[in-house]
This record gives sequence, C-alpha cells and structure tokens, in this order.
Amino acid sequence: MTDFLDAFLRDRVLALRESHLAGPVESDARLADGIYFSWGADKSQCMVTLSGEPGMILSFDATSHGKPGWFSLNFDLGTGSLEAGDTLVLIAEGAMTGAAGLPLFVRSNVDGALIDMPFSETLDLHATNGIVTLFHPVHAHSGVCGKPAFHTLVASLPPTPFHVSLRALRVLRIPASRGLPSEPQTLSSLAS
Amino acid sequence: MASGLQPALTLSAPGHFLVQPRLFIDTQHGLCNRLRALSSAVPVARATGRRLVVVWRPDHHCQARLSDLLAYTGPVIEDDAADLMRQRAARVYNYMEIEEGACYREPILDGAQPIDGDIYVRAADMLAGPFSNDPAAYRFLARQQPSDAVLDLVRSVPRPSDVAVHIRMGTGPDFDHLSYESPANWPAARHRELADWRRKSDVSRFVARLDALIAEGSASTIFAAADLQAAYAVLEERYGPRLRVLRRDLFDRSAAQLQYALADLMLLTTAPRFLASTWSSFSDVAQWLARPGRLHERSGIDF
Repeated sequence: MTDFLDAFLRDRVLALRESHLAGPVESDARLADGIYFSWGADKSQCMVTLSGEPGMILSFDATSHGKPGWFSLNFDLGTGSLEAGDTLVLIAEGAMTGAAGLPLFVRSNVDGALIDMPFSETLDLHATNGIVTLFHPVHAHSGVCGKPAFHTLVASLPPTPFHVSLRALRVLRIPASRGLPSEPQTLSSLAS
Repeated sequence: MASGLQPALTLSAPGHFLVQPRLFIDTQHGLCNRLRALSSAVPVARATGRRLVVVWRPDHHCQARLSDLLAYTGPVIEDDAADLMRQRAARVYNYMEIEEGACYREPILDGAQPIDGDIYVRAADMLAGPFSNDPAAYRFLARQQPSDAVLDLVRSVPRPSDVAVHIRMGTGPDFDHLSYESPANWPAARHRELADWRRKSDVSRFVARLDALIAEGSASTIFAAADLQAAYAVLEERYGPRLRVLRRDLFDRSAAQLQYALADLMLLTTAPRFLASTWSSFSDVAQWLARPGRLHERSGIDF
C-alpha cells in the first residue's frame, strides 16, 4: 500500500532514524528533510534537546517558559489531494513521560490559504513503549478536499517539561473508495 | 429494605399496558416530495411522543422501495396494511389537494382538541403546525445513509465541482401523457403554477447563467442533473469536458432511475454554488443537504 502521504514521509523518517541526532535544536531547523520543531519566540523560550537514543526516530526532552504562540513538532507530508470520506491513519510507536496526549492537526496549504484540520483524537503515548493507531475521517466541510495541497502533520507540544521517544511513525491515507470509513456516508457527507 | 420504599412495590391501579401512539406518515408523489414529508414528520412525532411509521408505497410517481434508496431502520409499511392504519387512526390529515376532504397544510395537532391516539398524515410536502421544526427535519434527512447501490453511483462521478445545476423542466402540455406529470395529480390552478415554474426552469436560462459564470472564471467544472435527456444533450454539446453528469439511459420513475436521482441529489451538494429550479422539491432538498450558507441561485428569480 502506497499513497502520497506515506511515500513522502517514509524515507525522511528512515533518514532521521539513521542520523542519531543529539543536542539542542533551533526552531525551524530541519532534522531531516521536512521534519522540524517550530515555536514562536515572542516573550517566551522553548528548549528542545535531542538525546539520540539508538533505534529511535527521535528522542527528546522539551519544555518552554512563558507563552509561546505555538510550540510544535512538524512532519511535512507532501503534495496531494484529499477527498471527503478518506481516512487519515497515523501509526506511532514510542513512549512519553511528563505530558498527556498530544493534539494533532494537518495544516494544508490550499492555493495559498492555510487550513487546519484537527484530528479528533490526541496522540496518547504512555510511559512504556507502545503502539498507537489513530483514524481521522476527512469531512467534506474540512476545506481541504478536492484540490492539490501541501500538507504538514503538526503535533502541538505542551509547555511542561516532557520526554518523548519515538521509535516508528507512519502516516497514510485510506481512500474513500477503498477503505472502511470510520463514519458512515450520509446524504450530506459530500457537501462542500 | 427501608419501609419507606414498600408502598411502591404494590400497584395502586389495575395493571395496564402503556402503548406509545404512532404517527403514520403516508409519503406521496415523487422522491423528494416523499423525503420532505418523511423528514418533517420526524420532529412532529418526537415532540408529541409518537412513534413514527413510514408509509412508502411504490407507485407510478416512485417505483422504488425506501430500502432501494436508504438504509432506513425504522418501521415502514409498503402495502395496503396502511389503509387499515388510516381507518383506525384517531385523526387523519390529508394534504393531497386533489383528493376529497383534503386540507393542504392543515396544522398537525394544533391543540384545539387533544388527540391521544394514532394520527395518520398523507402528504407530499412539509407538515405544518405547532410541532413542525424544519431545521430538525433537515438534520434528520442529512443523517440518513444511502443504499450501497446509490453510493456506487456517487463514486463514479468526480467531485467537487465549481457549480452544481439542477434542471427540472418536464411538466406541462408536452408531458401530460406521463402519469406522474398528468394534470390529474393536482388541482388545475396548482398544475398551472407548476407548469409556469417549469417554463422558467428551461435549460436556456441555465445556459445563459453558466455562460456568464464561465466568462468570469467561476465555472471550470459543472455538475448537472436534469429530468430530461434533451437538457443533458444541450449541456454536453455546449460545455463538453467541463460538464460532469451521472450517465444513464433511464428517464422514468423506476427504482433504478430513482437510485440515480438520489445519487444526483448527493452530487448536487458537492459544489459551492448551486443553480436550482424554483418550485422543485428536488432542488429544495439538494439545498437542504448542502453545506449551510451554500451559494444558491433560483431559476426565474435570480436568473
């Protein structure tokens, strides 16, 4: 199974795993092509330190002081078209301490306009290593359907000190025509 | 056990069954007339504590069974058992103007005389009265799941489109021979009114409006649904590859054609602008099912 999201992200994740990066990182600095932390610097300070655990895509400690406008870990997902009824699937393996679930959203650049599509579930990694699978249905009213757009998966990070070890990550799309939508099609579910 | 609870363990009155009264909605005429009547009966049933029973008898207006169209799970009567329900109902409302004793849009359960038992409503339109709730009716219909056959048809058409068009022009002298368009279905004045609006929904009006939208760059793709092959032919010749339609060779009221019609209804929601046929229940329902606030232009009024 290959779709544009999976094809775009997979090699970049592999490259990051093999890089064994360690040390502090800067906002928007690329850890691998299209994978980066980002935060707003106004009246706040965010700190992320990579620990370079073997076998991990990413392991890091992070915290922030003040109220950053945003604090996130971002994975570019490439350019493609999403359709109403598609299901986005995120599979993550790892562990997290010091924070509860991470809110996720997909930011899409549609003809220059940025549209955010929040996942209905948060990414809940536990203190011990485990696998989490999330399914997110793409609704017709999400504003991202039908037009090619550049997509980025954004994980919002908490301000409290926390640690994440991310061993594996896949993001893919099950097309409406082939998958099992996580919500039934209704008379209005195609409305745009 | 505390003594204070003991009285509740004995019956203070003879045993009896509590029977929830019913609201029978006898849906009439074509697909969207029926869907409109059914949907508007839902909030009335809910507000008056009645269980809804749908009467959906396939006939010359609509040969499809409800199950051909929707995965509806409530009780449905498809045969003359409905006549028995009508005879024994505490109150019958009949909106079908052509029938003796009918009273179009009579308020349902308007409170003048309380009615505790079953009520039976025969209608091809929205129910009226103190318990009607159009937004709740729209929500109910929007939540209904189409049958798998309908979904298969929907998937065969690319979407979204820039403009959706519904052309309903097949009523009037040229169509009187069709049983479902016959003047016998309506009082004379109502049929004249219908025929007048159908004339205002001629394909030429839609072509003029679409040409203007294309000229301003707002109609690169057009989804069209029409009731006549001739309308499709005009659009296909003029708009070529920018036109999207659900192709068929049926233009009748068969079950298969009505599955196409329901798929059309869903596809008409997949554009941000809708050119509708005024006085068409099909256009009305297509707009109900669309995103709230969708641009909506009506033949004979807006273009």
